[in-house]
Amino acid sequence: MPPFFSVRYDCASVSTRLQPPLGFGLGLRVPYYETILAESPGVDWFEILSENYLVAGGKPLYYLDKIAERYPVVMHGVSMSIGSADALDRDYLGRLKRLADRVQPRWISDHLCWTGVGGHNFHDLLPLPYDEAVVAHIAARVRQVQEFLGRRILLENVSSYLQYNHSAMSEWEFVSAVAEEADCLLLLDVNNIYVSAMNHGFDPVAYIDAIDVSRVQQIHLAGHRNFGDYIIDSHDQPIIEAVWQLYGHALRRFGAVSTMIERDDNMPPFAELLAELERLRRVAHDALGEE
Amino acid sequence: MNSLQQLQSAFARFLRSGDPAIAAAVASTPQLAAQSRLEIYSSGYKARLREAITKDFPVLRSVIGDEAFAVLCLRYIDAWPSMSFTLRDFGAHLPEFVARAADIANPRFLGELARFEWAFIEAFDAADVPSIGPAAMGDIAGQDWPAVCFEAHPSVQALVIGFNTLQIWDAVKTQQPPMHPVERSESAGALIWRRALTTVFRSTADDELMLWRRLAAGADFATLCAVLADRLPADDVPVRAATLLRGWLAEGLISSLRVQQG
Repeated sequence: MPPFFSVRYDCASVSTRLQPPLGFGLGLRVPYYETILAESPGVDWFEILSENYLVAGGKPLYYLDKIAERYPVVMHGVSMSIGSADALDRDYLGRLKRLADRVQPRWISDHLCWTGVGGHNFHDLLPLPYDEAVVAHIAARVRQVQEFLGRRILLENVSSYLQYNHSAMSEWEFVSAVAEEADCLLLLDVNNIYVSAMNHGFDPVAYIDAIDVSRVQQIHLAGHRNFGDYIIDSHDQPIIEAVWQLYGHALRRFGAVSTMIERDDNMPPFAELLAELERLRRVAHDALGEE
Repeated sequence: MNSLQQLQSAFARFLRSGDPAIAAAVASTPQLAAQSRLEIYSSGYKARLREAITKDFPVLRSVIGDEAFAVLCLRYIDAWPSMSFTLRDFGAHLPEFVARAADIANPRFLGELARFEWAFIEAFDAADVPSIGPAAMGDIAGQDWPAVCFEAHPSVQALVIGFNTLQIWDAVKTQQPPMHPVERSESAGALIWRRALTTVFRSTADDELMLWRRLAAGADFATLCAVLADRLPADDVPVRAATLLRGWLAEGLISSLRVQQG
């Protein structure tokens, strides 16, 4: 094992590996920095896009430091490319670790996908084929990342617009197998499950019901755009009714899980996001109250 | 196309150049054919990169127009695919690409304008290092001055300006009528840097830019004076050197100074 991967993380038992729920959060986005600092809104926690803060200095880190003093923060990345055939990007992981040392996030997540190959980055969450060889490839890489970062990471299921002919298992079997073999945690994006279910014609409830309860550390919700023949995971609209219902189903299965709303485009006034966050609290309350 | 490497390389070739080989590995459904599914990714790829440079070069876009900018974006995406983990870096080669473009009018001016806009990106998130003020000059004993070296603040970008680029940039930013590029009879300079969290800039005379670049490259004060002596009467050199230095210190352009030993 080279020195790069020499740090050991604490392997907690299955029953204790999940952290206590943080409540209901939002994505930390530039247009809201000043409002958050001025008004200290009732948001339980913020999720940052790690890459936006992997810079030397200036406003991004200034605001992040201020907000991390007041709120729990988790780090969510888009560039780990855990499913790529390329070698892991050690420079990127080193930067990520230094940012984590600075921010002290409750956890770090990225996506179960690939974002580039041959050194080229396509800056997209590209779909993987689902088979045992890919599971083994990714699980080995997740273990390396976890040892380097000194903590378990969360992997998020992505929205996808295509599937490969030679995939040998369902997406939920693939996600579950990676989590099990890598011993990592899951960030379940309920909107992504809905989007992919509509794009590929599977049952989103069956997907959720197949996921191991003991691995789901966080849930994402977001809006999307429906183009008739397909749905794009655009994060530029309010969450739709069917996704709220699916989220309620997920909570009845998983119990209280830290949940946040992703909004990345067509940014509304902050008050609109706070109103959507209030709905999130009500849906969660109703779902968990039914147990 | 069974290995992950082969599959991803084929996907990459499709995204970059439209090579259709990957389509054979993608499932078609009655709802949507494989080709249409792939095109969701290829159009998204180009849109994302175009959005990144549209955000970083708004004045260049305004000067050449939306249509020409869209064409430029596509050609740049082909020529300089992203090799970085972050979209923040994607536009770094655009100034050079524009300056060397053979089929656009006035590429030298447009390259300079793009370089000016990119300098703001570089200054915006440069390292947080305190600047020192003019008072630091008082800490240096008279006999030590020839050996004093300086460290430029990491945010400072120093550019040669050969056109009325700053005026054109300002006209676009303040929504004044468009101006035509005019080459200057003598080149000048521009300094772009960050004071606390705010990015600022100003134009400079040619000798100031040249001297600043020597300072930033590590030249000591004696060398800076010798450079000025090539251009000014010997009696004027100390005053000009001290004036420039005091100004740079007052503006927060210098983060440290030290006496070079031996």
